Amino acid sequence: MESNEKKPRYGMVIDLDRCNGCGNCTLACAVENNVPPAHENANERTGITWMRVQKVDNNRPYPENRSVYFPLTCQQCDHHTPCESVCPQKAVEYDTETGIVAQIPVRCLGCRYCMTACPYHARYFNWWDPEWPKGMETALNPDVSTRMRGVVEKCNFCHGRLQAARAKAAVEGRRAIADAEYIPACAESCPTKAIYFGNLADAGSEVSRLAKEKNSFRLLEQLGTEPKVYFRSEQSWVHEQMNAKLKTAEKEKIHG
Amino acid sequence: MEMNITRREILRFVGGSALGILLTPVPWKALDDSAIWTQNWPWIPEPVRGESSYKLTSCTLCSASCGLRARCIGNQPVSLSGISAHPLNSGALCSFGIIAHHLRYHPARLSRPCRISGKAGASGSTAMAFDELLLEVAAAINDASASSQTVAIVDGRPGRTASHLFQQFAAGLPNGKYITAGESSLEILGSMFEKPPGPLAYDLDNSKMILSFGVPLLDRWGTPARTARYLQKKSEGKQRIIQVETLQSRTAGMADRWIPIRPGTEAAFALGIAHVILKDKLFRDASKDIAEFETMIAAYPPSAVAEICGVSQDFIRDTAREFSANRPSVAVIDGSANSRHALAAVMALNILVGNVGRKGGVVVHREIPSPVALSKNKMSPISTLDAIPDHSIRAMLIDESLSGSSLPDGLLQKKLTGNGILVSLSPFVTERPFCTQYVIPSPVFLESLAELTGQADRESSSLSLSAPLVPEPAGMVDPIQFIQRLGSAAGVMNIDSGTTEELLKKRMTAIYSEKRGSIFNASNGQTSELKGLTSPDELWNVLFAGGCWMDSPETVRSLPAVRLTSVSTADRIKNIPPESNQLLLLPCAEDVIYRNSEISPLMSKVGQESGLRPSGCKVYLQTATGDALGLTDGCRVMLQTKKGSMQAEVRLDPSMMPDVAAAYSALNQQNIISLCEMNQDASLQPTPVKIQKV
Amino acid sequence: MDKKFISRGVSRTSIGNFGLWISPWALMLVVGLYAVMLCLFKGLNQTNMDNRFAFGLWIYLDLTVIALGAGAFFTGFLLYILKRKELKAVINSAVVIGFICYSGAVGVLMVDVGQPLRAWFTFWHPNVHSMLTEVTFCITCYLMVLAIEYVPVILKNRKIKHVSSMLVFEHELHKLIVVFAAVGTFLSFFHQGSLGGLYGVLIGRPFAFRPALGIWPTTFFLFIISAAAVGPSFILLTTALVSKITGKKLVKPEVYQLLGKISGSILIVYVLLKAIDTLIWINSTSPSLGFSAASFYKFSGFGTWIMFAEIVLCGLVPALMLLNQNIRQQFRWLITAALLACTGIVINRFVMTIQTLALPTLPFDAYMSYVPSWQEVATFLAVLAYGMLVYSFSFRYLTLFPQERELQSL
Repeated sequence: MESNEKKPRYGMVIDLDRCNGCGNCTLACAVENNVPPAHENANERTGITWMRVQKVDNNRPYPENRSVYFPLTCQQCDHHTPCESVCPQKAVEYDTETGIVAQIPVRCLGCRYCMTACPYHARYFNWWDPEWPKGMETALNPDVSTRMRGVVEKCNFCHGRLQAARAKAAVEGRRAIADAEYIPACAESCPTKAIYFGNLADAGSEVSRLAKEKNSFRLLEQLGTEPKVYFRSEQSWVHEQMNAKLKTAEKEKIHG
Repeated sequence: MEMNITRREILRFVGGSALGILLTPVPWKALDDSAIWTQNWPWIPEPVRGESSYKLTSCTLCSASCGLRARCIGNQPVSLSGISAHPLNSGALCSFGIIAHHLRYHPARLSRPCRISGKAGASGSTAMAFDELLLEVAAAINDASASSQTVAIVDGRPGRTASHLFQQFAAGLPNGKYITAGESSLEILGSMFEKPPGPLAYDLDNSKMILSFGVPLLDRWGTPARTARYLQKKSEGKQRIIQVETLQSRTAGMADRWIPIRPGTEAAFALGIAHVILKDKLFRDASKDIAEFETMIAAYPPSAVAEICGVSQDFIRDTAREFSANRPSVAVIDGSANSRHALAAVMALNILVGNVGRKGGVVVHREIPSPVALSKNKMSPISTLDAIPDHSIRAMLIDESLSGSSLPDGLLQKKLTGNGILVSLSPFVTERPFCTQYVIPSPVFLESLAELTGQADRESSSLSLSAPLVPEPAGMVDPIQFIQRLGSAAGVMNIDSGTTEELLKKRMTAIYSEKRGSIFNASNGQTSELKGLTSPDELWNVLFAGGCWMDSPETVRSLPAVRLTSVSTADRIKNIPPESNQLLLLPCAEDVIYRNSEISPLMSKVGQESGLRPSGCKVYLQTATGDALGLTDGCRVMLQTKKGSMQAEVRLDPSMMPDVAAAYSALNQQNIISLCEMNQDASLQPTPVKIQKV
Repeated sequence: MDKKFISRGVSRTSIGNFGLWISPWALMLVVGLYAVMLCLFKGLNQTNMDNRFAFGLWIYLDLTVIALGAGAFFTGFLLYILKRKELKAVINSAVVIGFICYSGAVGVLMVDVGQPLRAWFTFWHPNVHSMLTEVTFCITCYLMVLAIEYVPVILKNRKIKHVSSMLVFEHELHKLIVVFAAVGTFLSFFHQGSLGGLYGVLIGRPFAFRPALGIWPTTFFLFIISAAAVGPSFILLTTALVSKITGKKLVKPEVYQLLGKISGSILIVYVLLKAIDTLIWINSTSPSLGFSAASFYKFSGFGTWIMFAEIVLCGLVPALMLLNQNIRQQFRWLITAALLACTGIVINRFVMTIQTLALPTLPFDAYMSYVPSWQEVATFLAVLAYGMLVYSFSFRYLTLFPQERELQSL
């Protein structure tokens, strides 16, 4: 990187008014990152979904009840990244060149401290060894390593695609990659183009512009983690709910 | 020399060596190496490396025929994405298309043909050689011909070269019938004309107002580009969707307006709208029997319909007026989930506002040029299952190679004779315990050359090819090979010969010689006129690489006379009286392209691993309804109707209509089907149900 | 039959009776080890932990036994550094209990992590910002210290004493005991604190997060003080329990009194500091992160009664009881107070581990709960069984209570 160029800070803006919960992002992410299929006993709390879509409703009674769908991934916290500071063996690394919070699965001990530290529930543990149906292991993406059981994994904004874009640029004699050359699988697969991806540090980029709009917000902003994933909606109930106190409804989910 | 080795010396030696070794690289290297050995278990698969390239083709999973790029490592597809400039899907794929390249590895794939004997189910399956199977099936066909019983062939993707060969086959038998299983709402509409008007389709891209009766327009119906296009048009004020549906589906949630109606009252609502249109004289052209129709629906004024459907009279009137005024408007309904009466009632609306044969309404596609149509071999006309008497089909052939049959099992069962057989061309076995089934394995997406046509949501027909990117397993049979081999085994000689590729190339020639329409070239992203091409081979090459041919649309066509009362039997619609405290079971199906298959095990990520879509047997209830029954989210219950019972897991959902239980059973639809009352036409009725905790 | 291994001047039950006593524990150990094997070979899917409850029963019980086993370092500190000679009566027992607690905790941790073969990576790539690195280093070192402190107790066994080199070794080691006690105290200070720090630094869990004093969150200090407070109480309880089971007088009553008094004095300080910390958390820390403290207690099963139980019923009340000489002198009340104090710590560790994870963080999260699987419970019962076996053998063949001989002859 040339020293007078500001380093990119990759981020996302997700338009909740365009997301209809189709699940493409979840699946494209799993394909790109060799996320294994669920063990037959896996459920919502033990499965691995680097990108998952959560339905959130407005708490109004029928028929005024309405929902939006939140695609949730690692929020790539920019400040005092909670998971990075707690890992006992530096298996989490905040890349100062890109702002991406990377996970090093071969160094991970599987202590799961990072999972308790993450307020966005973005981290997933391999409770089982991965298994693919016979033959499907030949369709794995060679740009991403496979993981074994007992280690933690999470979204890394398809870092492998960034490497590939940089390699391609290098071959063509360029230093910088063009915006369109690096796009994570989730954003690419979204049929309604609800996910915008780009460089938040570039004031001229679309994500940068959208992130600054008044309808854009981030999750748990008061914690000070400075996540790089923004959401936007023109529905006022969404904003009200994000700012309201914790839901006091007694919804219990028992796993045992 | 005597060596007196003392304990002290031994201790010194051991201690010294231990310290000494620490100063050598040995322990540190061993430690370091062990870190490398523990990087991954040896039995965890590693991806294969190779040269990365993109190959272009089209998806075969449904008739939307999306253009897509397959990223290949060497020759192995590892991921799929849409072709952004492609006119059919504008770069979008649905969640099945994203993982379609995994279909080849499905563990339930058949490698050999087999015979499954009726009630024994999958355990009663016997593998057979293809020739052996052909002999048995041919025997049944000949038996049928001898005893004047029907042999029917059902085609889920009409308009292909294979479809025409099917028609030749049917024509070659004394009682052969060719049946299409496309969009049944449009088939019903077609049957309301004195003569078949031709292939019908909803021209949604040009519609200003879409009145949808439960069609998941914005969620895996037709082209996946629909949602983005709608959002764009909505922001420009160019399109509105009114979704009439009991459940708050994704489409209902995103539409301009959601009208929740009581389960099973679609027909009543449509007739209520028709009533207002007729009363206020908002119709466009009067059909000959319009007065008769008006008498037929006299029992459905807004006041009565409001009571039946549980909506306000104003909604009915406003919708009727908007539908008539905002032209071009179109009314659509989901053929797979509704009764014929409901389909007819909704199609009547299209006739009333006069949008049939007009842009933005229900358009008539031209027939795609086909050399088969011009060949000397006759083709039988298109029939419908309705027209065939019950228990008269001795042998039913179903082409499920590109997508599962959308015909309900109940209907198939009704039409088969007691000893009737079902012959299915499919990559998988579909459980049909009511008859003897022969299943012939067909290749899946990316394995073989396939012809794609039959979009029901475009202004004009289109044709694409799906090119093979990976080798086909041995023993697979494609539709054209299937019908040619079966024909010769059964002594039906009038079927065009030639390999699949030869026949498809002939079609290219036929299309090319008509010189109409446009082509999209995926390699350069350009759309241009067909007549700009220099040869049929060029057309072939464009289509073979993810492109498509689009017919030029006809804006208005003169149509045969229409008879509103021919199908609509409004007086026979059974309206379930709304009773308080009665819980109604609504059978739902998450759309699976191949029954009993999930395309890829990764689908669990939107099912059991995230709860985004229902997986396993689930029953959704309004939170208050669940509370009143003492049920909590996630508890197991028994659903009990007059017809049977089934276990399911409860999900409390605040968007559910009170006193409605929506039951999902993605894998084994039989469970839910057997719980519900069935109409004459094998469609399911919402059924009173009791729910108890187990 | 094994009389020559038993210390002079004290009596122990017959070997047959001893066998009867240890057999259920041995059985429990075997079953527990089977559960451990299942977890190691099949993976952690054998537990009921999941991505939302990444820490479960094991971490909770680890923290609890480490807090209770703090009696080891604290008694050592009081005896060897502050020269409270009366505690010589219980120091050996405290060391054995400490050893059991720490070795058991480390054993469970090796099963709890996904890749135990990589446990040494923390030493290779330590993260100076992480409390868990600190915990790993300190607990490893402290376990070595405990082992070293345990060795002299073993070496003083009647039979082993006869091996002169062992006696000399033990004598030399004992000269260094002050050093080990000091090191042990220092290490304990840090790891007890870091275990509290584990939760106090979690900015993503406003229920557990606390402001920092220096580089450590207040929970760092509160955990140390609570461990120091409850250590003597636990020693008191275990001594009384052993005394009851064996039917022998093991320590003079003054020792009990002293342990109770020390426990009470520190406990009252802890309760005061905890109350201040809680008030600051309610009024400042939690709201500044966008969460009102009251909102954490709206879920069934975790009402404000749990905070009341922890700080008042099992904190202030036992502290006041232990500080009152009259109450201390009535053995039944003394035991009750010690029990309440230990319960308070058990609740505190539970609140910090389990309740923290049960609570929602995102606005649309649900409150969650979890029930441990039998494999998790069995693994922990294996630790309990292991402890019972080690202690039983230690009690039978080693001098855990120097005053026993004197009291026996009375």
